[in-house]
Amino acid sequence: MYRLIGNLRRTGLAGICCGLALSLQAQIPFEFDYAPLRLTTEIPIEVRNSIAKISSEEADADVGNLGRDGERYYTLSNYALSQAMRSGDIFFDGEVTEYLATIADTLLRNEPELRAQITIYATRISIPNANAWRNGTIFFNLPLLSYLNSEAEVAFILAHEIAHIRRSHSLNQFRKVQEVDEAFRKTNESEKWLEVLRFSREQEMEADLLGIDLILDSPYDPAEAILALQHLQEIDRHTNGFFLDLPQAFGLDSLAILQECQCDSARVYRYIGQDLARDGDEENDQNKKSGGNQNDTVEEPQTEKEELDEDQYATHPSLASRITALSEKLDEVGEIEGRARFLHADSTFYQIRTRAYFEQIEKTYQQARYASSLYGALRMLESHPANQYLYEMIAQNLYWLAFYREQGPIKESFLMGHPDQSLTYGSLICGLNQLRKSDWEGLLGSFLTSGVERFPTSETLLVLQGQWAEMYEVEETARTAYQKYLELYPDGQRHLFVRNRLEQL
Amino acid sequence: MKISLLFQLALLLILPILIWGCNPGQLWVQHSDKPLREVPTKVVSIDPDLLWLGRRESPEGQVLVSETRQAQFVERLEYAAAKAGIDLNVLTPTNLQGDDLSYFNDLLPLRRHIIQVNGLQEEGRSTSDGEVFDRRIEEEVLRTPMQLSSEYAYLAEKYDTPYFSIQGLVSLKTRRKEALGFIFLFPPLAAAYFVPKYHLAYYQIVVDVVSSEVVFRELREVRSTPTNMTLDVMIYDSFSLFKALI
Repeated sequence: MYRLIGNLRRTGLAGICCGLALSLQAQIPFEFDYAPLRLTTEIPIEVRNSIAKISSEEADADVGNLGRDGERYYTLSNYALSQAMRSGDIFFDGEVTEYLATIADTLLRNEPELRAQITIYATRISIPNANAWRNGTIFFNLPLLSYLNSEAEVAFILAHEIAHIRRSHSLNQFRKVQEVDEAFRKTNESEKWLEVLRFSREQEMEADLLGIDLILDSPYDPAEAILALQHLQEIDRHTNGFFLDLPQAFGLDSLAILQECQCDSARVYRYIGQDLARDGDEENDQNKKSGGNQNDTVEEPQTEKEELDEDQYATHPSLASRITALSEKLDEVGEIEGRARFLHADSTFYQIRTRAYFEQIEKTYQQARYASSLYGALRMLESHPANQYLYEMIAQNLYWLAFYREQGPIKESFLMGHPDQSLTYGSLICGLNQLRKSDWEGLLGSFLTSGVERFPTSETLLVLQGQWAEMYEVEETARTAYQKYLELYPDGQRHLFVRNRLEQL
Repeated sequence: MKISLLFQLALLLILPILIWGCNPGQLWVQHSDKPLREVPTKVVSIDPDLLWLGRRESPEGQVLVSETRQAQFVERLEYAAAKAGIDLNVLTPTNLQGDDLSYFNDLLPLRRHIIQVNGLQEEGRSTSDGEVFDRRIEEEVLRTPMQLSSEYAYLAEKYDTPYFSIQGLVSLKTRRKEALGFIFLFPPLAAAYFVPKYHLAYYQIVVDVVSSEVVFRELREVRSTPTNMTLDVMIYDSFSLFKALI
């Protein structure tokens, strides 16, 4: 069985590489610029409705047959959903949401009634995950998409979430909590929750098996389901992603100063949360250092046995046991031919996945995780060297890091928190942290100068150049940059800001 | 004689309420050292916050009460701001039209940014000597106001005002546990344990998206229930202080 998984992985990955190479050769999505996703059609009525109104209607209908507990269940679940829907992170429309909807259409083409109950939204929520809500809403977070390699893998994730809705798992979970509340009234609170978590793991396993049934009834290749779970395993290990070659990326002349920072391995490990000094095991340290230098990864992969051991505090079964269960099921079914990894053109998937990478850069910037966003943009620059948006994001992140550096040491919240815990990321934040105040002026200034030379009509770069010059009191440069902006964009997005600055100078 | 005794007893019971009831609250205001660029006739308020804590309602009850109270808070904001001569345009998810896409595309990112800037630039501010009018009223003038990203400047034309704000209200009800300490010293004062203690905190942050600066921040706290009158007074005073910065 594991040989099968290995073969699937090899053939799958080979296919992905070929497919990616061919598609990249044909056309690089967003080669020259990127515009972050925005809503374009209409805000759904569920977002605007009052929670009390929806909940009371649902409690009256009481589909879940909850009786007196109905009001509590419907109100609290509607509250949680409305908080998410109103967060600004949900894409009610747009390319990705529509793409996901067409996959669901395919999966449920024989069950129109169930399909009508389900609404799928792509989200900018930063956790690589998807989740199903009681009322048939499914959130598919873009970071998860960036870990997957085919449309069929996306289809399996959706099939899993659809299974949660089909079996009313949210309602069952609520009933289970009520049940154990009653049964464990006089015992330890933790026992109660362990029981609820055990039940949750059972439901997740059931969703996997029902999900694969749905995939088997569809034109999608079921073997991709196992690959999807393997990619989720990579998320758990924090070792996924294609790694930035630090010297190459910082080969950008304007960022050369970062290369001069002296960051030894121990320091880099510390920045990415691996405190080598903690265990005092020199041999282990050496192994980690050498392994890290060779592989650019931090954590050793877990053994199969370790992964198969269930974590009693987890809401989901271990991925190894989920992969095993799915493999057994597929072994029973036997070989299936003529199934597809892609039903749409594969370029559509790659375009959407590339969008997911860009959206993560945007999201981390919005969250003020500037080092993380900077790293993401530098990473994307390897495959998109002519992309204006990436230059603008690098400049914006560097600007805010420099701005806060003027006020004091760089805050930890700017530096931490990139899911890609690679040594390269550690090296970047170590380098940023070592820069003196005076270094920042040169670093940002040279990057902006080269950026403006390359993209002379970029609104963002021109304004940032003015702001940089003001921050370091180079008034003439600021005035020139602002005037150039107004010549190009007398009614631009920032023209009021620029006019105000010129008045102040 | 009997009446007099009853009167004395009633006085003893009222005394703790009077003692604990006399609390003037606190006000902290921070603003830029530069005057406002324009007379603030219109301000956009993005999704005011409301936290309703310490009541006896069940969790679902708290959700429902908060929703009702939020609507009440929005009404009071609009009413009291109008009294202060400001047209306050409050935008919340429940009063949006289906095509108000700008709320999600533009205003929520701005709101998030304002909150971030307030947290991240809290330290290291250069202020003039804080003016303390008395222990409970403090005014700080910022020489270097908190800086926002300039990418939101276009909103001034879109909403016909450079001023955008977020407001919040926290209402808390607690027991006066400290009153139990008087049970042996002076028992009548211990009766205050049964008189709940209310805290009401109101905050407001106003930014100018054209100068890309936070121009006004304030936090005030009173020991009161969130009645319409209390809210009106707090909000009116807050907008009046902001308007006086011109």
